Amino acid sequence: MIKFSNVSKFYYPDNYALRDINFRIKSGEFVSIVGQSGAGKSTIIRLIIAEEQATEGKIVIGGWDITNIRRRGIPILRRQIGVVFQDFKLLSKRTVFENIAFALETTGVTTQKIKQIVGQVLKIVNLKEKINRFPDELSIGEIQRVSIARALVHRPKVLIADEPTGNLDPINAQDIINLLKKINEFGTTVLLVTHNRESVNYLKARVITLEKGRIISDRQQGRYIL
Amino acid sequence: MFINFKRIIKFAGQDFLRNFWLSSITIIILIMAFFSISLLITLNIVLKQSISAIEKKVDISLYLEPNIDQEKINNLKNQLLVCPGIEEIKYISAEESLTEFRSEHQDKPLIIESLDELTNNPLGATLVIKAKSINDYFTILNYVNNLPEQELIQHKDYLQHKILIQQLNKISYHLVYFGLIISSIFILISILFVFNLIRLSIYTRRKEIEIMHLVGATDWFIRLPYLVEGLIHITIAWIISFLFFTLFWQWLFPYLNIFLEISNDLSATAFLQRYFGLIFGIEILGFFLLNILSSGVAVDKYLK
Repeated sequence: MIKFSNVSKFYYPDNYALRDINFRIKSGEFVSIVGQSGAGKSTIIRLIIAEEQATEGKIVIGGWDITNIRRRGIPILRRQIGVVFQDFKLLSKRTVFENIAFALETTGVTTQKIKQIVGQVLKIVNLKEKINRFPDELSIGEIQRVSIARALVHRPKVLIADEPTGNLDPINAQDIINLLKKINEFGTTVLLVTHNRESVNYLKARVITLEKGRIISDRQQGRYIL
Repeated sequence: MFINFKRIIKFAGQDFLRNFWLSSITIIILIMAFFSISLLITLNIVLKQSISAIEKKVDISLYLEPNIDQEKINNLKNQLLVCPGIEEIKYISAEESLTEFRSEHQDKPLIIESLDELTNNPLGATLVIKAKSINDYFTILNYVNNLPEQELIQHKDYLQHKILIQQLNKISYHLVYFGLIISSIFILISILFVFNLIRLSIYTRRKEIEIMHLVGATDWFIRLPYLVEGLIHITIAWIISFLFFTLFWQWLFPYLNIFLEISNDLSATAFLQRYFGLIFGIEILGFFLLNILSSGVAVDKYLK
């Protein structure tokens, strides 16, 4: 599903964010990418969603070599990848429905279909009753769930969660992790980028550990080793 | 495709209403810019027209000797028409000259009585020469002075106009030139101001642009709502400015006409109708283009 072959990312003048990264994530896997701040976790995400391009190496997503992807291909790629961020990235002046529908409206989906899909994803994240609320009327855990719902609308092959529990208390954090696990059970490949030790150890899933831009560990049923 | 088009319009309208205060301020500033530019362009037109009106009043009159054959007068007229700078030559017969003279001096009984005493018409015919442009008068004067038929010409009425013509040339050139410079500076300031206003407006929506980009919207789908919203702002501002300007012009025009003699046969409304394209058409097109350019530059910054 996701393949990184000898990928490096260099920032001028002398900063290697990633060095010679190699890994392969199969379809339907749940993988945690861990590391301290500056290890290169966010760089990996930015490369996957083509926000940046690798300096060296090759990146393949779902059989598509995106190493030198053209600008007009980026929207198509991003519709196949759902992304959830630590800072949620919701629009405060739009309701829950409108925030989620936004992702579908940008791709020409009909109004009827939008209503159907939004209803479905809100059911997955258990927020159907909050459909007409604004983000500032929701709890922080609910906001993150709306964010996850939006990431699911295009039925992505890959769901990337970049520090999704970073701003959450332990109880909400656990809820989000459980939700991600549930999504993975439906068949979606999930890439969780985190430095939450408890979540990683709880999941008992594959763990790729980064340090100073290199992979220092890649274990099935791994643990947080830093 | 049609769904996307509807959505773009919908997003633009929603953004306009959701950011109503920002939209209102933008519109107010655009109204001021439009009004100022309309006023500058109109005053430039008025200035050129009034200068042109004054120029048209300038002419050279050749007062001919009395009792000259019509054939000789026609011959003289034909020779004058060869001169390249001459627009037209008006022939006033001796009788018409006398009638005009009586009319001009009807409040001077002594002169009228003296005329009544005479048995013959003391006045000759007049040839009134109008030039194509104010700059041609000196060429025409030289040409007239070099004509072989000098004995036919009793008097050339140009000396008192000479200074006027020279001064008019100088003033006309400087006024128009100065007016253009001031207008250009002001228009440039307005353009820069509106350019930055649009960029600021888009800056406040950078989060939206970022999210649209992340969820898979194409670059054009992201750009177009801001473009359309800008067009909405500009259209509303233009309409309001046009209405204000029309009222203002209705009030100002009569006063300007008294001093500058813009036109005797045009009303304020007719004046604006005649120059509608020049005053209002070009400015709205210009601002549409400015909107496209500044929206494009501002949005692209957040797309990269």
